[in-house]
Amino acid sequence: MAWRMTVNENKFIETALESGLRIDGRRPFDYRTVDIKFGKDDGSAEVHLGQTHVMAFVTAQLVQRYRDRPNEGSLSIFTEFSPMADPSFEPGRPAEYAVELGRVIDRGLRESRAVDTESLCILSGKFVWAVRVDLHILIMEGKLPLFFC
Amino acid sequence: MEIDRLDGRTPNQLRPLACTRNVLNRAHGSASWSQGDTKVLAAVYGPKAGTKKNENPEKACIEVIWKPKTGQSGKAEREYEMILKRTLQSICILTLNPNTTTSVIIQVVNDDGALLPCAINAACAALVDAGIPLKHLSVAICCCLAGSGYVILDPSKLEEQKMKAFVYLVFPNSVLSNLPEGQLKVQGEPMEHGIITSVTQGAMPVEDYLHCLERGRAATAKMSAFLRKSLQPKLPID
Repeated sequence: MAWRMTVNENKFIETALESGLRIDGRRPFDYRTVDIKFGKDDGSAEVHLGQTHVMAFVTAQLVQRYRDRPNEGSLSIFTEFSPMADPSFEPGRPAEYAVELGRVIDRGLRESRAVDTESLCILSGKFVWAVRVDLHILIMEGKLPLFFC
Repeated sequence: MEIDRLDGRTPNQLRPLACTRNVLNRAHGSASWSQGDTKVLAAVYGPKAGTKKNENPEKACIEVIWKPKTGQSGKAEREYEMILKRTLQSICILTLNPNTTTSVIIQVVNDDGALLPCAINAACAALVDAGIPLKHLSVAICCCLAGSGYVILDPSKLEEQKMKAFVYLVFPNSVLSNLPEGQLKVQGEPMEHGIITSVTQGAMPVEDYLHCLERGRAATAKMSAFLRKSLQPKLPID
């Protein structure tokens, strides 16, 4: 049962925007407060952007590498749209936008070379680190692709 | 025979408990429960229409989704979901909202031993926060049996790995009532002595199991008091 905006709500938002106000009182280019907390163990963080909460956990495993890329480790990102964030998320197969979101983040981190995959190699051709990032979305109130980096 | 536990606790001592309600603003009910370093977040989405295919439509149905901290959901998660579902089914009043499904979503934030009891406690608190009618609350605890035969409560992950066997026990919480004492007993025993769930792993002799039960019951009295206190509505300070 999707929620639909009423005509009144549409008009209200448009009129407010014309006078430079958004529905929560912010100006058009204002950000919500960001709060980043690091967990006790290495590799975990929790970010709050306004009401949206996301948790990230990073783990690494030693794996044997493919022969075509013997000098590089791998970085994989798993985005979990937990039903906790919104009851319309079904567990199991992720919806289209969830997959798209995962790919946007993946390309962003990979292509900007934020993590140097060559440095993840320990023994060329034999053992490399496979870094795995798990993102759990706890509450969703908009602006998801922003915070993952 | 005393044992030195790694963090200096006595065998019957529980780790510091913390419970917060209404952590998530979208979910109908949510709670976060932590015992020492083990922390679990539970969210409840209240009765939705319809039940799943194989469920009885004349009763309410409870659906549990367990999200591990890292990795895909595997068989261990399915097992936890099943145990949690059966436990919650026995504390909820299922006849009140027939043909509905209540979803309970568990997210593991940190696992440092006694994960399933922590999750059961979090789920119970989240159900109360959502206003789902329950018969009584439940308190869960983990008891381990060391090789030399003595029992320790609420192990951390390192302790759990070294133990010979352990058992997760879920008891109803202690009753605080104005009714005369006679009416609260079931077949001569107080209600909080009943066991809702018992999951064992490893081999243990029967006497040791009964011993674990005794210790578990004594410890859950304290947990019940803590649960009751943390679930009481908080009044704004004027």
